[in-house]
Amino acid sequence: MATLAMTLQADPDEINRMRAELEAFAERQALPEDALFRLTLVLDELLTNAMDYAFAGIARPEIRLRIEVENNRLMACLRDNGRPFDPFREAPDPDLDAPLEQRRIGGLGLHFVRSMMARADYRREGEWNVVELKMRLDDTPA
Amino acid sequence: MKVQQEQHGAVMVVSATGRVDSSTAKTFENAVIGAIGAGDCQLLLDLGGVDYMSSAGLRVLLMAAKRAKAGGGRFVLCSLNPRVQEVIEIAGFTSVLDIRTDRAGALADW
Repeated sequence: MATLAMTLQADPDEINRMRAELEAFAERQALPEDALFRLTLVLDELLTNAMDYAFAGIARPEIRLRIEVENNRLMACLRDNGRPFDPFREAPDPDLDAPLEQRRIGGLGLHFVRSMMARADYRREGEWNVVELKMRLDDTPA
Repeated sequence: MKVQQEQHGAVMVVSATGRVDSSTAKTFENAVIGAIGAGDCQLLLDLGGVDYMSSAGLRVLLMAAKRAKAGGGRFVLCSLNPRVQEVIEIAGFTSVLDIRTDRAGALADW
């Protein structure tokens, strides 16, 4: 099993650092390009969300990311010590058939997470928000 | 992220290059929404140089399309990279955005 673990500060520049580390990890593990793209986008959306909403009034914001790859399966675990926040419950799926005037700006990031991962689950664990993502690395649709 | 503007007859062509994510979306927004103005625009947005777009960029596309429609203008996208096409499809925006294959075709049909 191959693992990537990193700790991030609640600073938007950290998303670029995460991306660079993820790209290097993907190259070492020869991950498919499409999987890297989807994972980058999903983590970008979740991290942006957490940095925007989770940390008001939190003394020492911290985010931990752990990625494990084994046998064509990837698991990513994103933890933050922000206020309790279930991103999936707070963001209903957008209405993809609505006319232009009724489309909502927002809520799309979480829609990407649900669409691009085989599983995406939230739980609260003590002081931590925990989002667990699972995806397949072969060509089988998620 | 870089944005350039050039005038082709009646059509303003805005071309963007690079990544459109939460750290660059404000630059992208200022350029695109600035070119939309009051919505009475003839704007072609060439995304050929954009290799990544998150929901922060899609938000700008949606805002631009709404303004152009409300103001009686025209807002067209062209030259989408396959990754950008994919996020636009998953977002369900293909039914509400005018998307053309390439710049030459978009300008010829204007």
